[in-house]
Amino acid sequence: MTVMECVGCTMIAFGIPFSMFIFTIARHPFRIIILMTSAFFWLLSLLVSSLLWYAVVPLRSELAFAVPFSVIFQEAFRYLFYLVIKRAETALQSVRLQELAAKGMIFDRLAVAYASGYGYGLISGAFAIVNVLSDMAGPGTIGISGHSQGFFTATAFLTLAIILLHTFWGVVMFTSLDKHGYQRIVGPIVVVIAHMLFSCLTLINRTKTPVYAISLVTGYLLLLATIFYTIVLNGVTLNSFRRSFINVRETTTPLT
Amino acid sequence: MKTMIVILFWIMALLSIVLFLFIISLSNGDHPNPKRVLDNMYIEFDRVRYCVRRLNATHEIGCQSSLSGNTGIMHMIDQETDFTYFMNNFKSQNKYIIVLNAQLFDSSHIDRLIETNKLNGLLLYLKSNTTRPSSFSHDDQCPNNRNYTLYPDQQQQTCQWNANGTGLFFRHFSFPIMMIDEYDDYKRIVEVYHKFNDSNTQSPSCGLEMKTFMNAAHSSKTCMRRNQISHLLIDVEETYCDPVGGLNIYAKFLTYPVMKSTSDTQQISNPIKSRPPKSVILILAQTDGFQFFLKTKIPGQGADQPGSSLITFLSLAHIIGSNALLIAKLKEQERDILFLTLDGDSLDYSASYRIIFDMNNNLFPSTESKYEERIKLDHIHSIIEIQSIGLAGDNKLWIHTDPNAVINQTFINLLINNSNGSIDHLANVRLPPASSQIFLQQTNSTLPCYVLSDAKETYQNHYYHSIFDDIYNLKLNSTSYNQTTDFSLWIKQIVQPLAQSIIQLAVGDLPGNVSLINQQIINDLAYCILQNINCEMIHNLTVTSVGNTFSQFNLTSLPFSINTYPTSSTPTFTFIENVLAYFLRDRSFDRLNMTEDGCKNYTKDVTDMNQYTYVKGYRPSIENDVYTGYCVKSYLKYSQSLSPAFIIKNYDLSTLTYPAWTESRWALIQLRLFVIPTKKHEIATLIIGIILLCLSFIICALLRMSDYKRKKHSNHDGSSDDDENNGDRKQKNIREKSPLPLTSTIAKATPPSKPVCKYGRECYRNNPDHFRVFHHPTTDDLKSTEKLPTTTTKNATKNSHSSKEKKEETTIVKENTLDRYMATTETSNSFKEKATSDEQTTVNDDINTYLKLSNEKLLFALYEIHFPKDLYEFWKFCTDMNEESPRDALKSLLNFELVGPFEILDGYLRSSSTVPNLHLHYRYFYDVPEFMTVIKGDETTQFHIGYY
Repeated sequence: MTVMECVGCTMIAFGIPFSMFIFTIARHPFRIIILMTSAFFWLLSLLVSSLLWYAVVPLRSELAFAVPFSVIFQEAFRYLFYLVIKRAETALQSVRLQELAAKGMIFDRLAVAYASGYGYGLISGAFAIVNVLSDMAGPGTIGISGHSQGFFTATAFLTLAIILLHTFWGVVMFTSLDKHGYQRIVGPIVVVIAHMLFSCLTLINRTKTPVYAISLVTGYLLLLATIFYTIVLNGVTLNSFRRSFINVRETTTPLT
Repeated sequence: MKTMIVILFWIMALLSIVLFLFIISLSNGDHPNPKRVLDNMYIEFDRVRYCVRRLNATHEIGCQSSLSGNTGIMHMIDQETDFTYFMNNFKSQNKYIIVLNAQLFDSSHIDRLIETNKLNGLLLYLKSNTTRPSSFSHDDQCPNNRNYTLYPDQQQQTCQWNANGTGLFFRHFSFPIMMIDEYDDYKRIVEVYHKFNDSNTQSPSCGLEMKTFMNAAHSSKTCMRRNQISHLLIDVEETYCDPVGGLNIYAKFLTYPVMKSTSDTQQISNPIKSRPPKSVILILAQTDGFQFFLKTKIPGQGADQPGSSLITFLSLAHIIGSNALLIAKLKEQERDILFLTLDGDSLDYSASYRIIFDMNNNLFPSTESKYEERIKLDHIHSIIEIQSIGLAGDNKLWIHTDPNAVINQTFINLLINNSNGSIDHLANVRLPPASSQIFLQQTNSTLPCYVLSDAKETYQNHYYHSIFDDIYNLKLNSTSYNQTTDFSLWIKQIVQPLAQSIIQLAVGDLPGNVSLINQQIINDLAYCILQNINCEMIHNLTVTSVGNTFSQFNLTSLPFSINTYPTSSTPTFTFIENVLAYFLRDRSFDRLNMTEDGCKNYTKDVTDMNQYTYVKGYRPSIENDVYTGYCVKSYLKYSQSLSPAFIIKNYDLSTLTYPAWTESRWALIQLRLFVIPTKKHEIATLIIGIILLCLSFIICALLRMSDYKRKKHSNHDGSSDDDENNGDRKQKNIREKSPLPLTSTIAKATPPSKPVCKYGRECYRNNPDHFRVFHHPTTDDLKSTEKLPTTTTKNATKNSHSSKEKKEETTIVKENTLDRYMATTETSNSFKEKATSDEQTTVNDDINTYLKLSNEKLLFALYEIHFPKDLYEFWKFCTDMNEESPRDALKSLLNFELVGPFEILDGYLRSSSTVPNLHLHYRYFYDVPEFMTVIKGDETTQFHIGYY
């Protein structure tokens, strides 16, 4: 009977990312490649985190130990991915881009940052919620041993938050690293701190009946702050933000 | 390069999958806190008892769930009042899984529950481990009385052997029925039930899910037919059901020595010494029973029936086997005492049918050897069948004989006399359910059959064929190895006179008290069969070089349930084989000190029907305990006890000639307790999800649309603010990411040193070489670029500028002297049109910048290609020929005129005020696009020579 719950939670977690995918990524093969590659890098970071978790036997049950390290690894791999993309960029520039450009393979830095952030978010969100969703499909719901009923909905909303956050973190990180001066340092630090904050916030949900409102409200406030920071980083005015959003979606100006 | 990117992409994708699997496998490893969400959602009961489906020729019995399991709201019915409350007050359409006190599990309650149409499953519980219902038997009141019986006229009402039987075992239920018999499980269920279902109806209630899907359906015929259908796609035969049956085990004293011939055995006409008729005394016991509820890995109980009868049977074998005098007499009188256990008789006597079928078809004993005499029904002297004897009221056992059958009254008298009154004869009562019925039926009651049972008219056993027929039923709370109990004393009291009488029946009186049994043997048998088959006695009998098969069944009693051949791996048969072989062994072998190889050598003799087993253990009949090993020589055989219905070729399983029971296979037995979410909660979650999805799609679509509108608008404006911005950003990006920032600085410092790209700031090219060669003005040096003589080409989309401008431009072009000159060459029709329509030249005073350039640079600046050297050499040659007008050097000779770049070299540009579009200069109508005319021939033939 709770197929209904399962479908509902899937749509909560992946509805917005899905529409983002359809409108901004699906038609650009280059962005899909970037998305997949960044997802791959996220998996690599997960592998490293799990190896660490596996190696440090006494702290295996301590989630508070594994989470910060996982955050650090994720951000480290995001930086690695940036370096890889930067290398690939020069390689791609030496290719005759006319042909690729005709197929929409324009190397747009903002789009690359966006797609890589989105890829990070998507895979991380998938890992966060897929096993919960598969458990949800049965006839029952959580609560037999006194757990809060809001667990599934809260998980779905937190997943949505992490997907969007990762997308914007990707943009912030890549854009800042492209810049010169203090912004080159500040951007990544902001991303790491925000990521750490969000991940550690979810640690308070480990009790049987946690107040999900704390992590949800803080999480979404953090999301708003990140969005604001992204806007500031890409041009201050609202108009230019709107344009930047559009540019993200429609970078290929018509070719003559 | 593109293919490389695609390949890279696929490698990445592949690696991702591998990595994903690796991480998953890593996370599946043993971690200290394996908490899945599932564990917080469901409480699973893995010690549950369940009911399965069985089929016969025409019907199916038992229960099953749907493929995905039956779920329902849990409702507990503990007492009769709860039951009536449920019947009267629960009118909603919800499906329930009733949790019912096992006391209330009978036909009337179940029927009423089924009638409500709200029953989706049934779970029985016991309130504690010690209390049990006063009676709990789901066999018929007259067991084993359907079609296959000696008394087809017998009605259930007149036959009350199992007076407490509900008959539920033989009914078909379309829902699963389970039972929890562990007190912990019951406590958990009750705890959760009171937590959720007792409070108000708004909160979520808890439900149960039962999965007992059965593969077989309809009837044995259907499922056996489906067994043989192989699935073409996967080429695997799937089995849906297995025929009921195990092994019929039989043992006797050593065979008669066969007349061996030293000559070729082929020449012996009849090597089998004929067996005299009426020479075999058959002693029967059953080894199977059934229970409504099965339990994984826990054997079915059957302490009274058939456990107690098997203990008696084996004790009897011990007494008779240890009597050397008897064996000698039996040889002398050519008689045999055959011990036979039947497996499958609790369901329509299929084992008995099989034995009789084998006897009639010369298949008994089941052997290929022609040196062995077959036993037929005619050879049977009499049948002594031991039924349950554990619950004798007044310490009295009854010999049942069929009122119409032939009996040997002297044997009965012997038995009564020997037993000192503990055994009595029931002459006028019909036989209780016993295998003898089938032997009598098949021989038209000409065979004397004696059935020993503790039942006079009804069973004392209130748990006949149920899970409660265990040691507690026999009033044995707990026995330990070699402990004398009332039960084992009772067995001894029975088995000694029985053995005495059988010996007397077989060979007549023997001197002395021949039928004594050590009490310890019975104690051990009782302990091994009823308590723990992994006992010392069995260790001493079964440990071979392969190992001991019983150690895995530690602390379990001997299982007596429905077996399916050959799939079920019950230890019962191994147990009986070993014990029977040991008790009926050749005692002369005990003294021999034999090795394992020496023991095995005996088996090579094809004329020897005995089996030789080497057992590691304390040698029997030796005073000092030596743990070495010994060879057991005995006559023991077995055959499968499938009903003849499954043996006869082309037998129609729907006919009722033979019983045709099958047991369905099943994959998963699961009982889970969980919380059902409230409808409100479910719908709310779904709606939030749908709203979020739709909203995000709408917002994205709106943004996309507004984007298009804005673009259109800006295009109409002509200002192209957005485009400029776009270009700006792109230019910036190019600058930032360009590996050659040097280009731009050079361009800034010396703008005239490099020709300006004709697309200027809007150039789309990314090739660094292009940037190196051409100057691209940035916003900073916008002013300077505007001064530069560039031909700006606007985008095709932006060509829809105002027509006024166009006309003005055209007039300007027409005023050009170059154009005027071109117009004179009337052959170039295309030139005029194209020059006027497509190109917009800017009036520019700075044409002199070009004039400063030398010939080669000038041509490159104008044409943007490097002309080959021969052009200049040819020009020089022509200048040498005709200094005044080199272009006409060839005119007089060949009527050729040098045009195109030669005109530029001739200094034609000096007379021009604007830079013409030279790409269309002398373009003929049929020229390919890159063709550049340099020599023009006859006007009428339009012959011209050019570079391509």
